[in-house]
Amino acid sequence: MFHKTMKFGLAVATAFGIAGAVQAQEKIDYPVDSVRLVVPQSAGGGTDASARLFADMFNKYTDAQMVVVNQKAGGGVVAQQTVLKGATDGGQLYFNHAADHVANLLGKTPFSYKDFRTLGTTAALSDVVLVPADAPYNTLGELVDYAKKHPKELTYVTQFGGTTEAKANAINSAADDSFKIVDGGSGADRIVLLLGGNADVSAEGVRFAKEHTGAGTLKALAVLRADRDPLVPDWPTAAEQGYDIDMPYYFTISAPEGIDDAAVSAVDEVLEKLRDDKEFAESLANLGQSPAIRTSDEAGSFVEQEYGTIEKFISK
Amino acid sequence: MFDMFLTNIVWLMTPSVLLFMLFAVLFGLVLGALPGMSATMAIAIVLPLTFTLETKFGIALLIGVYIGGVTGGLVSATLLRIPGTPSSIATTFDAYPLAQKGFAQKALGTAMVASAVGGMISLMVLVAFAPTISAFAVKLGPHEYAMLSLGAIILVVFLSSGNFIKGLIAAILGMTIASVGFAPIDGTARLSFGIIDIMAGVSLVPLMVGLFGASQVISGILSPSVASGAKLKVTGQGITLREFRDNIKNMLRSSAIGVGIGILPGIGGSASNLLAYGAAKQSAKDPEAFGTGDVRGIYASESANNASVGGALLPLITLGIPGDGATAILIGGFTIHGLQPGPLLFQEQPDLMSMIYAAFAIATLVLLVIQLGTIRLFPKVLLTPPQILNPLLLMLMVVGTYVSDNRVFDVWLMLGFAILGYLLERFGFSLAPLILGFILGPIFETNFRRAMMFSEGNMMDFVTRPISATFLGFVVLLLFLSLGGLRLLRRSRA
Repeated sequence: MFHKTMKFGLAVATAFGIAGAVQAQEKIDYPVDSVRLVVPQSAGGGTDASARLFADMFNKYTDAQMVVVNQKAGGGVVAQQTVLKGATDGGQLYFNHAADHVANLLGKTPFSYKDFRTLGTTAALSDVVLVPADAPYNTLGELVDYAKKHPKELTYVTQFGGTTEAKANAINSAADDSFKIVDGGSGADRIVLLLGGNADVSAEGVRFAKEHTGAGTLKALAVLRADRDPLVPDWPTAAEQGYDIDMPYYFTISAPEGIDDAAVSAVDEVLEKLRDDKEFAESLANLGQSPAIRTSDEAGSFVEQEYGTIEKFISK
Repeated sequence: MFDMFLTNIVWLMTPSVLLFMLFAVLFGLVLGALPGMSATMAIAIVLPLTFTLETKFGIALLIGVYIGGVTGGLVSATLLRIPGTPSSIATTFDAYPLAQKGFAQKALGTAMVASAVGGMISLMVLVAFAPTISAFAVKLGPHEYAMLSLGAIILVVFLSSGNFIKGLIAAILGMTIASVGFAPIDGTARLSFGIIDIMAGVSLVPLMVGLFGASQVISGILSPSVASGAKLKVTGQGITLREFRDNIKNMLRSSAIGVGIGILPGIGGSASNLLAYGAAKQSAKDPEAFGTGDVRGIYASESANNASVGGALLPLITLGIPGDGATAILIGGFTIHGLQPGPLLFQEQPDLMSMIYAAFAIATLVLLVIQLGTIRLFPKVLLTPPQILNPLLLMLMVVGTYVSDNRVFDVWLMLGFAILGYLLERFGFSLAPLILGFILGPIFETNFRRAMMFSEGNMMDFVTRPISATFLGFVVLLLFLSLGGLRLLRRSRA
């Protein structure tokens, strides 16, 4: 009796062992078992949602478990400190976008992309130039012309210290500085200012833009990126209208310098898998984002270039 | 909107959700009932625990805790003559004598029913007026918000219970704490000493939990429980329909006072119950009966303090400006849950909006059922030994503070604020102006600086924009009134 049980137990154990081995073969091997993905934004926002989606995908493809840790204090500087002072075995990664470049250029954080090793980008979120539906201009060109003819009459709301400020400055430089660029707070606050007639222009994310153009209160003039956004294929880009402004948010994964190379290549493998993962693309679309995969070999030079672009339009 | 409300009601009635609502309401009720603890503390403790929940669920629970906390104060007010929360001070005047006469059940029952009625009336006011105020609020720009929040700050100081100077000091302290870290708009690091952890500034959770939660644990340890040995046996007949009918007018008046006071920033339930009690006494033919155990006094006080909840939620939801300490934490909680209080809430998140209403209604009803059902049992909560309760609460506070931003630094900060809160209360400072200063200060600064950008440094816009000018006139009036109050004070001392 005892023997029988033992044998059965062994058989079960072996079966599980084999099943485990098969699974392990299918799953990408990551050097540590649990990974904290530190996000310098509060839970529930667009960046956080994108990070959580990446974590789900990471857990689907690797043998490790990734959890998102939100650390919003100081707009990123605390989260950066956490990651840079943390383990280099791949147990802690960082997830954010170009807002870090702006913060660094404005002196709000001593850390920049140079302190990190950039592992890749996952997705893009485009901003759209929005004006009230009854405004007398219908294209970015008409808006810029109107501003030039009526200097400092149009109020353009952005969030100072964020990427929207850089985008506004980019448009303003095309209009010979004739916009009045002011701080209007977060996206939700800026929409209130725009709808209440206290502001004339703002640039907001695709999802926001779709909602309000659909409701007929605002109209979209240009998507601020080089190629058309797959989520709004009918909306013209700034580039098409002759303005070379290519500034979507690219969600970027980075790690402290000196991170285990095995972790880097494992993340690369995950990113490769995501290139043709339909579930990933569909979930992104729900967030108003689209896939934008770059692996570690190209990500480093990409953020360097991104930093350069932002630098042109941000001065302390 | 109404169908969303019904859907949310049905969702809240699903057994698993209802069970959590029950716990939330009960938690608020218990902390509200215990002297020294408060609705504000209950929300501060529960807030971090709701972070991982679905938005509407988290918001429903926070509303439940809030309403439970405001209501809980009536138990110790009636049985011990100690108001569990400041909003039940007037309840002690008549409910305690009535209970002492052997009618504890009637006293408690009256207070509970009055609470529910006051809550429901204020909910109706909230539902009726919120859309109108929202529609108006969309037109407000930075000039208007700057003046509105300035008026709110001055009102907080002006109306802060007791000492004007101490209220002012507390509000300024709150604003100073809020100014640590990166300045709004230009991002200059202030008071940071170059330390990265301080650059991040002070966030709401460590401040709230420290000031309102952990500080009470300290004072609980240093001053032993008062409840031990008290008579907590509830006997006597219950309420009668006749009394209820006779007090309908009284409850309507008291609820109106409650809502009105609740809307004004800074005071909320803690003043409305006293005012409503005074109004009821004044309009009675036999004012001398008040204070001897008259149910009219209980009806007035308890319907007014619960009616303040709806009043306080009104500016919170439509303008993003909190009415009292508890709603100041609620606003933080709402924002963390992705709900953006402000004029667009109705258009963009009607579902969450109706969830607030639904949770309000369900919490009020659940409360009434729990309270009436356990009328003989619940008062035993007052006997909870502090050596069991305090460590439990402290653990929840430490975990909650850490979870809010995953930083150990915040936990130390929270403990520091606990000591600060204890000392301030010890020396007679009220904490409500501090927390409202903390919330309103940055709203004022940000909007003032924005307004300066919008009008390119032209101060005259504050006067030439009609709504802003109205608010400014109100601010000036308040200042004159408070200066007059000061002079009066000096004269009475001389």
